[in-house]
Amino acid sequence: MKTKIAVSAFVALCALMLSGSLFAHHGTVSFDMSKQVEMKATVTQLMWINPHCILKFDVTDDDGKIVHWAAEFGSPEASMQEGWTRDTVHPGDKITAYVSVSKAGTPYGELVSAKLPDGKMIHAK
Amino acid sequence: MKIHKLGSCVILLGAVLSVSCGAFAQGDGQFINGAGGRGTPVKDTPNSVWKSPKPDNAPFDPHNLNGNWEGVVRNTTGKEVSPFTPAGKAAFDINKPLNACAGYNDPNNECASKLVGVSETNDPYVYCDPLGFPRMLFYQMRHMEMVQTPAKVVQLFQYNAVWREIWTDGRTLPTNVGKPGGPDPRWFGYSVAHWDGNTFVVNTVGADDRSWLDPYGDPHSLDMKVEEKYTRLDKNQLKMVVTIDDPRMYTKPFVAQPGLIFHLEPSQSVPEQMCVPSEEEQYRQFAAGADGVDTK
Repeated sequence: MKTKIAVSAFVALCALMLSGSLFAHHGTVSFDMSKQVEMKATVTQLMWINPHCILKFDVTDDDGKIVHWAAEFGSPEASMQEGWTRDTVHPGDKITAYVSVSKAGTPYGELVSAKLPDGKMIHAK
Repeated sequence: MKIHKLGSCVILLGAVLSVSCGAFAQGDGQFINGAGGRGTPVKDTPNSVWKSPKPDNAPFDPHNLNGNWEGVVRNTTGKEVSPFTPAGKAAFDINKPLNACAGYNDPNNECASKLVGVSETNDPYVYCDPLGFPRMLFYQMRHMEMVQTPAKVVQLFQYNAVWREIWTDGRTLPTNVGKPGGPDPRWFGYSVAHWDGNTFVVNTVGADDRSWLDPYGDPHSLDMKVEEKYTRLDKNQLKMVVTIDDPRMYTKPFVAQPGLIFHLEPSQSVPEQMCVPSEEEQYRQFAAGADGVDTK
């Protein structure tokens, strides 16, 4: 899987700014919030649902295999305050996702932020 | 997947982040960084991280509570409760909360040790059961509207678009809720209120004991009595204090919320925030995958 940790101060700063999101109201005990993994992703679905939106995307791993990922973030109402809408991403969009991944090692995570196809960074919370 | 250690600079930032998280855990469950800087931690109440509303010196009627008041997602720390009675401890032990409590960073903290993922929790909330009373006051309290009529105040809650009625016509509270011949327990109990000077005092009994007291799994019984005090501090601020007296579950009364400050929502419009069972089911499938039970 082609992933790497972003070591830029920008991402760290994003993490700092988004510390509140670590305590989404459904909790984040299932995720390793001490790390963020940068993933080159292809969006497959944005589930615009309560209590939390879920972004589904494909990532090609180091063996060339496509892995189906899903990452949650804020509720639709909270996400709209960060600039998200149900049309922010569409299936097929190429994005960079910054994700705190599942402690269980499954392809699930907490979406922290994303770089959209137009290069714009958008927070998730 | 290659995961590398972050540089010392980032570690330092991480430490700052941890401190930030620790401070954050004292109050709200979610920052909201929208216009007006909401989400900024404040020091003027023990539990709220809500941005302190600016005082407004405009004239106001202290007995007029009408309006849409903006609060916080979570406004208790989970540490306010008094020691449990044996029955309270037994009820608490059964509950499996998924929400962070004040001491969740401390592995020796009992609350932290109880935290589980969505797939393991028995929090009624994840099934869209009613939050009930008084949990509604402590959780998902982002927007609350007061509507005063001559005989009662109706309190409208954003979350799940529910309401409760608070009678001000002089009637008394039932004393036999859930007992033979008495009225049934209700998710929001039975409430009456009176004015004590400029403070609106609400007394409630008969809250259905299937609900939790707060997001941390603290219980309550049908014997619980709740007192709320609402005081309009100025045109823009409303203070809420909540005291719990539940001798079946706790050894003494305690102040569960010592002073949450609401402010008038500028738009006076309530965004929708619903718990939809079919969506919640989709979310639980996601959460099960995150906890290692892949459902995809």
